[in-house]
Amino acid sequence: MWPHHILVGVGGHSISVGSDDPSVIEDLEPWRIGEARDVVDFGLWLHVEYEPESSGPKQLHALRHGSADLTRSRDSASLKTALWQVLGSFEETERPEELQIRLTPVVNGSSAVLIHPMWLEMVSERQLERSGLKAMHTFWAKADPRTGEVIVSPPLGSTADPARFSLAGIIFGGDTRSRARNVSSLMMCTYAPDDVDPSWMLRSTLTLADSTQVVRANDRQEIESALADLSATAALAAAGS
Amino acid sequence: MLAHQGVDGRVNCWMYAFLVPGTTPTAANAALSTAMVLVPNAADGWLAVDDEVVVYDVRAQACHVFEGVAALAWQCLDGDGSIDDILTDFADIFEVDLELVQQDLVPLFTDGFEKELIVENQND
Repeated sequence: MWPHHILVGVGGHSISVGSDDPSVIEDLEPWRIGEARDVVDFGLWLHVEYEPESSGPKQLHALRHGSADLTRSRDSASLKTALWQVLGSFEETERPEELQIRLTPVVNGSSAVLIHPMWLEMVSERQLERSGLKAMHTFWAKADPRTGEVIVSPPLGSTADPARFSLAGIIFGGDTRSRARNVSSLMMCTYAPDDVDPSWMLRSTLTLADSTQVVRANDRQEIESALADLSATAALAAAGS
Repeated sequence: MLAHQGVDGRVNCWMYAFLVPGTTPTAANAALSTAMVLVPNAADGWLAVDDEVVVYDVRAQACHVFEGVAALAWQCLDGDGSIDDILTDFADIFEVDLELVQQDLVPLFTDGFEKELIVENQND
């Protein structure tokens, strides 16, 4: 259990945030709501004590979703930023034609590769940095199937414009080349509100999948390779245009 | 011999379900009769992609991908012919015994009916 806790409402979603740091909760007071159903859980550990003499694996501060780490770092400030980025991604999209996708954008300049957070967890931040890549820890990324753009909402409370990236590729598990299975994989990562026509969502996910490269990767090596390849291809395309 | 026919002459059909361990039939969907005229559930979404069909089940928030003959069978659920009509057509088109087609496709229709992916056509 978290020593400090708050329930906030963002974009029609109810979100529970726990932390071992009371200042995190204080900052979220303007968004506090009462009881709610279908709550999404996040937690921010900022005061993990390091034991430099220990030979075991080092504990890092962590931003958690449920029981899984979204990201870990020694840098508390970057984790706080990630939390506000995650919460900002729950803001409702102003454009109904955009899909809300539960995939993490890994960006390189003006392009982004979308990958499931569980897959991304296999790759260290250090490895990403070595490849010139940066993971944007959002909960929802938005994607416009008509333009092939990935849209990342600004952090909660920010009035900045959303960041836009050209979609360089999507990485899923499995080994299929079937377009129907790409649609199925993407659909299962897409937020489907009750009032949205599911046939439209299927068509939109197909348009999005067809607009980019969908790569299947199943272990750390394949994921690192796919991230590097897709980013390099996108960088070459950007340089040529 | 058609592409969807297996090496042993049987009609192959596959139905892959994700995240749906099984659905209990509802009172409204208690029993499937092959005399019924069925249609895809209008509450769900479906899309034909190449030779496959993707169905999004809004109740289970799950996707199903139908391949091969299963995808063809799905697209025959147009509210015109009964299941019996569809089975007979498949036996004729694929030049296989009706009994074999029934063995392969009736479980598919039954499963879809139980999951309410397909429902009786109410527009007759």
